[in-house]
Amino acid sequence: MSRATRVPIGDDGRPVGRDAELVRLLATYQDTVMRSTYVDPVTTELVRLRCARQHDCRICQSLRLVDARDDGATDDVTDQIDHYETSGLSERHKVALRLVDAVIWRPSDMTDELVNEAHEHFTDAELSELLLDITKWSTQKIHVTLGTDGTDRVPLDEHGIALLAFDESGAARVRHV
Amino acid sequence: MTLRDLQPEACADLDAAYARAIEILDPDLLAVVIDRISVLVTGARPQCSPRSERERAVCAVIDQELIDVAGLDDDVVREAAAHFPDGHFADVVMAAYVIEARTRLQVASTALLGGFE
Repeated sequence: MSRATRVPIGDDGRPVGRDAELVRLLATYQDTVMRSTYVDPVTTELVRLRCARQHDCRICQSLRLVDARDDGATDDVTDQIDHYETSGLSERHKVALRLVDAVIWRPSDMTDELVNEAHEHFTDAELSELLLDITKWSTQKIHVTLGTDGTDRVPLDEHGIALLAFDESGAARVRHV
Repeated sequence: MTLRDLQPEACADLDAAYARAIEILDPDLLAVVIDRISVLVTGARPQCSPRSERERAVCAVIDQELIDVAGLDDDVVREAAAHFPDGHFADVVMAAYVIEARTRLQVASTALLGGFE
């Protein structure tokens, strides 16, 4: 959708008046979450893209996780996210996406059936990482709210895609395909 | 096991961000923001309501952000941001998100794991 920048932007291209300490602490949290490696890259990518599409974050929808592409998260796979219940995705991936929807819409409405499915397909460690991942990816809501989720500073290819990776510290690195 | 047992470093980092988030919001606005998040994420009954035009404008943004952020209108956000001429509206949005994230984790980890703590 068309979305304007809704707050004043500084010379650094970021909203003015941000509390530097909160920015630092939130970035630290996100880096720590990204260092957790219980969940496989393909599941992580499906969860990331579900968050991106549900929240309509333009930057996040334009990115593709390098590790996940290498492990089989091709466009044919990720194109099934929007209609995942009737898709050919595995049951494990469908359960992960149901968890995303439950957490980002109304976690208090999570059904016993979904909880049982979650434990059938994921360990507690994996579930802990999925929950944290959802909150990490959903920081996009800050940018969507402020209208700062435009892709003007993302090195997109001719298909509107860029690659996303995380270094050993958990920090994000975006590069051209 | 709890979420903190399984992810101690991330939970500690989120605690620190949460502490800063509640520190930078003024107490009246903080109370309203926490209440809106509790109502819309956990289904709790409202405990307070916005008392000023600034609080009402912020709540309009927070409510839509919680329900469907993609549906936020430019005008709704700009009206709220106009109440923060020093530019600190970005702080309000960021702080509210941290509180929201911790609240969602508390509810979801209670259902899926042994709780947050």
